[in-house]
Amino acid sequence: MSYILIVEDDKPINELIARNLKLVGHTCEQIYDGLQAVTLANTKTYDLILLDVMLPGLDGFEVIQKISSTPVIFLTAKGGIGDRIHGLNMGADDYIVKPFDTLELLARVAAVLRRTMKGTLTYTADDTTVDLTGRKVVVCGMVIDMTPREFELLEVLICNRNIALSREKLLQLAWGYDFMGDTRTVDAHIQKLRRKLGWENRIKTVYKLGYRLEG
Amino acid sequence: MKFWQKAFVLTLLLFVVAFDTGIYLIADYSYRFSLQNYRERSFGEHYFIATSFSTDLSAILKRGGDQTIAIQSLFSAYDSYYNKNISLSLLRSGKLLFGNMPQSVVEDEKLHNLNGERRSMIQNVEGEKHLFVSGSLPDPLKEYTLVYAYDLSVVVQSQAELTKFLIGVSVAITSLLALLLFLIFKKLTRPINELQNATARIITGEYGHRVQVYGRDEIAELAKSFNLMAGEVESRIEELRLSAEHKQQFIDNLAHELSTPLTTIKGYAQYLQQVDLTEDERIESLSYILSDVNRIQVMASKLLDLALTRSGVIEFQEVQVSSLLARVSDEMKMKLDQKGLRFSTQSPLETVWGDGFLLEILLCNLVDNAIKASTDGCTIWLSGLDENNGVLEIRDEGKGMNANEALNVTQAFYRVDKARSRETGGAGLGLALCKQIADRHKASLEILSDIGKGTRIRLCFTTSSQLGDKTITSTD
Repeated sequence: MSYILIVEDDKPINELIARNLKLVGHTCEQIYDGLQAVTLANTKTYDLILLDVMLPGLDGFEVIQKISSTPVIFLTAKGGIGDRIHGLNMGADDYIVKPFDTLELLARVAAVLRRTMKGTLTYTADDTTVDLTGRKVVVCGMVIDMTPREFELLEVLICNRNIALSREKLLQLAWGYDFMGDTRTVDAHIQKLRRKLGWENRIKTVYKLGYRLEG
Repeated sequence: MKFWQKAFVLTLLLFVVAFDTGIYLIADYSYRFSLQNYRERSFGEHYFIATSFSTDLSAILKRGGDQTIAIQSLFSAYDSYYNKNISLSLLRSGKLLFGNMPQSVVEDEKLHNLNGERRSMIQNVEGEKHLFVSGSLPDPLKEYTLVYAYDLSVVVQSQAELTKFLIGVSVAITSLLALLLFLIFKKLTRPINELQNATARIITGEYGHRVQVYGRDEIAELAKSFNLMAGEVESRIEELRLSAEHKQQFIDNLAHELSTPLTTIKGYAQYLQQVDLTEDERIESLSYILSDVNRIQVMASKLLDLALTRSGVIEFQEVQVSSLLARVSDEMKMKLDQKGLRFSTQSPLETVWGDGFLLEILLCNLVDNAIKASTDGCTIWLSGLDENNGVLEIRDEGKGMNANEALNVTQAFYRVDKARSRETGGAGLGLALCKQIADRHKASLEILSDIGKGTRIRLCFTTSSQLGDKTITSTD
């Protein structure tokens, strides 16, 4: 869906971020130092830059001053309130503190992209097209009626596709933290989604964990 | 009430009382004195008038005839002669014959006595003070009494004027003195005010504030002591601040050092759990996790070493330097060979006084750092030098560091590599541990380094191997 530059000098972490972003459909470029980040950011167009603060060459705060107009999310181990405020004041769109949760990273990336990208976001698989901006689902040219809750669940599955989500996590993401429902509510809604969209094979049940949208 | 106000009011009060009492006593004395003068003069005059009058009166009495008119005209003559300020009265057998003075006054018993001595008194007549002197005429005219009255209004008036003048002077001098006292006390107590202000400022946290010292009196001494005290407080506070800062830095760094491997471990664990992976991807993810678990384990053991060397009891004994160097050499052999480095040990120094195990940890850490800094084909020298109380020196031909880095490198978690990458290694605890071991041995760790030329680290012992204490227990 989007073209994202990952600037992180720790190779395993860089690799981890890239793999997760690729799973949900983004394209990534991985680099490991600040100087290269400035060069690339000013020659190519990215939808988003994930920027580590402690970098060889130039640190993240210096990098962000030398690039313009591209949205930036800082990734850093410095989680103090002062550091966060400093990072956001420097012009970052968000600030993620290590160690982070993969789903949180994806959610924040999605949120920043929603804010900054123009045009509509759609997801197509088989004969189904989901218009995430217009909140509309079309199967084989027919518009399908969906309850708001069903659409929320669908959106969560699409934004985290290829990643298994536990029932608790789905409740938390689609229903909200204060929802007191049973995890069986999730099962029921998943069944409805499978039927309405014809995605019996796409929405997989993961043994002992939850569900995963594959595509 | 402030001190200077108290001193001011008390001094002024004391002065006013003393000065005004003095003035009053002087004025009173001068008044009495002038009254005394007048009295004496009046006695003299009375005697003179009485003598002369009695001569004339006896002449009249001898002549006979209508004596009353003759006496009256004689009296009138005298009376009008002494007209100014003086009036006369003539009494016979205590009864007023002639005169302008009121009968009640001139017949007053106080003026008369039996044996005819002259007497005086002061009495108000018609609002004016008069000095009365009475006395009988000489023999044989003893039954006549001449009363002489002198008008004292001039004296009273001049006394009143003097009093007025003295009050004026007193007021003027008192105000002038008040002004001067005010200025003097203000000035004298200014250093006290300054001390007070300085204390207030120090209380609010301005520890760098000092008092200006004027002169050499007690207050100046106090100000000096105060400044000394403030300096001491400031340096203690600064020490505390620095130590707190170091601790905070340590905690920040620890958090940072932990969060990087934790990010990898957590991220790959989730990745393994949630994503459908191939066997290769699975193995790769697991190896990332294991390597970072390892990293945390290394850090934990280094931190434990730090804690132990800080608080543990050290067994001091004579350590053979040659065998110590051999043990280090054995331990580091594999790493040295891997990187293709030459290693040379030599020791003119025979023994040092310390804990062999800790010294081995220290030297291994230093060699490890030297290996990390060196490139293929370089040499690392490890030697025991027989200088002072013994020196262990390690020298490499590696990349070196600048003076500022050399200064900070023994702080826990300090890394010359700002991005703290994992390729060049550890958590930045090695040299902190070395420093701590050196401190426990009361030895100094000197780091001399040049960028591009290499680093030389010298562990200089200050305790001679013969004189050392048996044990040194924890200082913390």
